Amino acid sequence: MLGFHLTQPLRAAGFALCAVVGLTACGSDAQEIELSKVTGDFLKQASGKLTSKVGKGKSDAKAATGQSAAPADPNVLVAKALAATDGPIAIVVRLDTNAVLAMNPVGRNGDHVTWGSAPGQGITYNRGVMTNTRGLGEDLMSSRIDAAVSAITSRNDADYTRVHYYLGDLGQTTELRLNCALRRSGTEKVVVGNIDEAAAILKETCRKDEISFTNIYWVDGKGRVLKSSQWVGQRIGSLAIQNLRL
Amino acid sequence: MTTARVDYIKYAALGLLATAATPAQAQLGTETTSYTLFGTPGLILMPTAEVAADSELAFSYSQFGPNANGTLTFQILPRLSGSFRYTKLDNFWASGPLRGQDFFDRSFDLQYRILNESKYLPAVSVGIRDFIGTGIYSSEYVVATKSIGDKLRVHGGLGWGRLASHNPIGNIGGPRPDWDAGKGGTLNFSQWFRGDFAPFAGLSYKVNDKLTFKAEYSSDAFTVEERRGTLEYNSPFNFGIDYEVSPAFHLNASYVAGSMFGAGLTIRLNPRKPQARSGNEKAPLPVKPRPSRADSVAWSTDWVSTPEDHADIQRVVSDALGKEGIRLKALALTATRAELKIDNKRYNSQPQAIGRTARILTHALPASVESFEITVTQNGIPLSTVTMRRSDIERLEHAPAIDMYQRVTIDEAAPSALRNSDLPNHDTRFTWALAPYLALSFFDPSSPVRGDFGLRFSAKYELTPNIILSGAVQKSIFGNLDDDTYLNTSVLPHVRTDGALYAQQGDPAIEHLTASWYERPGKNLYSRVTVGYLEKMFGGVSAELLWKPVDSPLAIGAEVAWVKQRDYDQLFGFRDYDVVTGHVSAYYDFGNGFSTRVDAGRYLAGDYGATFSVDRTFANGWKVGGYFTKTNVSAEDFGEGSFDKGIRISIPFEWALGTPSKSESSAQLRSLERDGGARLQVDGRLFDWVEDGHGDAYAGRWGKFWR
Repeated sequence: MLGFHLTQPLRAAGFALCAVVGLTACGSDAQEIELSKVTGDFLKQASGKLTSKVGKGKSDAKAATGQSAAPADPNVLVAKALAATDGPIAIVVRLDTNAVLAMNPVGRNGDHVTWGSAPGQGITYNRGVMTNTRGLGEDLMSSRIDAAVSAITSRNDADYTRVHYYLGDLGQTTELRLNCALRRSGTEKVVVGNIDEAAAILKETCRKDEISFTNIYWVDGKGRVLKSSQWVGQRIGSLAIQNLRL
Repeated sequence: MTTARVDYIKYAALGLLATAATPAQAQLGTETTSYTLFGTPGLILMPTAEVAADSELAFSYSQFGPNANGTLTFQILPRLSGSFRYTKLDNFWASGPLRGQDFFDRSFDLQYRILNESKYLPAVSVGIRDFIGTGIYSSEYVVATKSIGDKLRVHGGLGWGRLASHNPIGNIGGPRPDWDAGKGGTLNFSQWFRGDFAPFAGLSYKVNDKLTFKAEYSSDAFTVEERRGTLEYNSPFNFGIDYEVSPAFHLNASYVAGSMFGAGLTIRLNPRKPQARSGNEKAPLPVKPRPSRADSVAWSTDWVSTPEDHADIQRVVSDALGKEGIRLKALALTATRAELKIDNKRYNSQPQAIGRTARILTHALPASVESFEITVTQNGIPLSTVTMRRSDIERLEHAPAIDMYQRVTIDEAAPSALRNSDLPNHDTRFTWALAPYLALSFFDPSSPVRGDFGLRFSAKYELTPNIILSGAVQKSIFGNLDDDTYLNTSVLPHVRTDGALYAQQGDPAIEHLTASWYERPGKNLYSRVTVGYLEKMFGGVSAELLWKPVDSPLAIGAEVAWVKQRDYDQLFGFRDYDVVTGHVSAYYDFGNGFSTRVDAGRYLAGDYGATFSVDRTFANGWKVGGYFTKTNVSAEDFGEGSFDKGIRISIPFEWALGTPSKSESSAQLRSLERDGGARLQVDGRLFDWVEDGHGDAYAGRWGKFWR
């Protein structure tokens, strides 16, 4: 007699209602209450977006967590970041959105150093060249870039192949094989934070069919990448990475 | 302990990698994102030869004049789409006992692309509408679509049946044969492409990415509706616009038959197009390499004989895993080997849970421990064991995941259930939740939607990891499930058709109250016994046995239950009816994204028969499928629909949210639930969760090992 019957009834809608009447799920069984929590968060976010469109928004609150949509005064940011720790620190800006992260090293495995941010993003570099990212969404999962790393850190012109791995929409691994050319294009003194070094500028241009990008590295005489602009993938675009203290 | 190594999984993963290297999948061309008022890809009322993107799932609702349609369309294969529709026609009944009442009907459509568009030739599709229902929309067509430039498409075709009701130009085999729909649910095969046929045509013009104009010459004259006086038909020309508010959401408006305005909305989802960016979860802990062997203190094995060290390690690992939503169920250490049993509560992808566990172990375990054996468990039952070397973890942390895949082995887990004495901590054995619920019931014969909203309290206690007490009580706050006044005329035992009585009297209700015992009786074998109030309408005892090798596409199960019907108040009492029900089931995964299942046995009303189902499954956890059940109940006795059939959809939260979650939203849409072919609902059926820890769960998702 009951026609369409939902076995696991459309609880999502239920929780939407629940949030409207001000109820929240509670308990220790994560799976039982997950939907309600998620729906609640979603509604909060949605209403947050609305209020930020109407009023001034909450960009201050976001900056405090280490991620902000629009950096205010870069000098203030640099000073703040340097004061936060005694060790190495870098700021990373996603060029498409101007979102800013302060990062510091959290793990080392041979030549690979993984940097982390307080909100939970991670970037791993092989001697300063990005090899993978985490927590950005649509991450660069891994790469084979040994030729690129040795050419960049030795500041030599070179042509080579980069192989990037991503996760596709169904969760499957996808491969992107790019042909790259690395060329020196002048020198520049890099002065920012605690860094004051002469550096060679290297431009790396890569292409695969309609996908192309240019990475730029400022590399000092010891082969250290002082600052750079490096491409993550089609959906994230490029990150500007600025070391403040090595 | 070990069984055959799961080699086929490797091939599967490599296969995925290979196909992924060629990014674009085969495209048929001549796709559309615009749907008709009937919820199928096309013009306004008329079909076109266009297809939706492969695996697109579209929910649509539209209304014009007295006609309202709710439709679900799935692009089953690139060339084949199927639709399920619920229709309401206002004031349809002009006479008889239902006089003045609305008409509710369900229908199924199929469309197949025969020919893809080429430089000179159009795309051609053939379709059948309402081929299994009561037949009010029954029609067949052949239609062609040709693109002229990027924006304009011209469509034209021939229709039979209802699509030949305006200005037919010829016929095949004389008049269209009569067909007695009876209780519906039978194929009208004898009518297909028979009788009069009439031409229809149309244009669609895509102004920009968002806006499409459409115009058509329709061959549907609304003969039945006009005869009943429910609408006015003045013209075969219809006009419409379709507006894409967002890629997932379309609105359309139209002017139909020279007399009516129509409007509709379409929600388009696609497993291949996640709603959220994936991978928003926090970065995993970096691997911590061991110091060099020269460091004899770090590499000492004195800890092995110190029980306090074992306890400390266990606590550290358990706490760290807990933060990842993974429960440590057992940890046994020797100088060189760690054997872990974990229960992954968070990650939709088992490899991700395994990878994160391995990362934690590189921080927590003494340097001498080289081999990690990580066993995935659920309900206290070990499902599979992934064995890896710590030196590989250290060496391959930043290499593509496939490199690690080639270094691990995935085996069946040792067939013994977890014991209380294994548990590192006992405080996770009791869990509870208080959460709102919403139960919806669609499309019963007298109302399109009924709902019930309330609060549900549930609790679980693990007596031992594999013996679980579980219960839930719910209290309705508001709803109208109970005001169904439909007279129950079912001649079978009322095993499912008394839903309204249960809703009326069961408030508050004990939704279920059970004790379940899971076990591994032997190699490749899994078992379950559940006793208690199993579901809303039945209580008793249910036992199940499943044979499923860890790397086999085939599994076989058997289930038997003795159950008694519960009182309508859903407390502790029972009604008089009891039955022995049970099935033998075969599950087969074709490995190409399709899986099938056959259950044969005795159903709740004592009827004998079988259920056939096919699902299209996606590596990210999406499932879309259909099923039907034929039993020895006659169509007459079954009632409307003739036999049980339906569609089920399961959408993982992870797809919608972008953060890891094991939960999913699943819905089963039945054409009409009756007493014939009804199955017992019992929680914890083996195949559903055993499969989660077996071969395929690793193969397609290994890319997340290092995420």
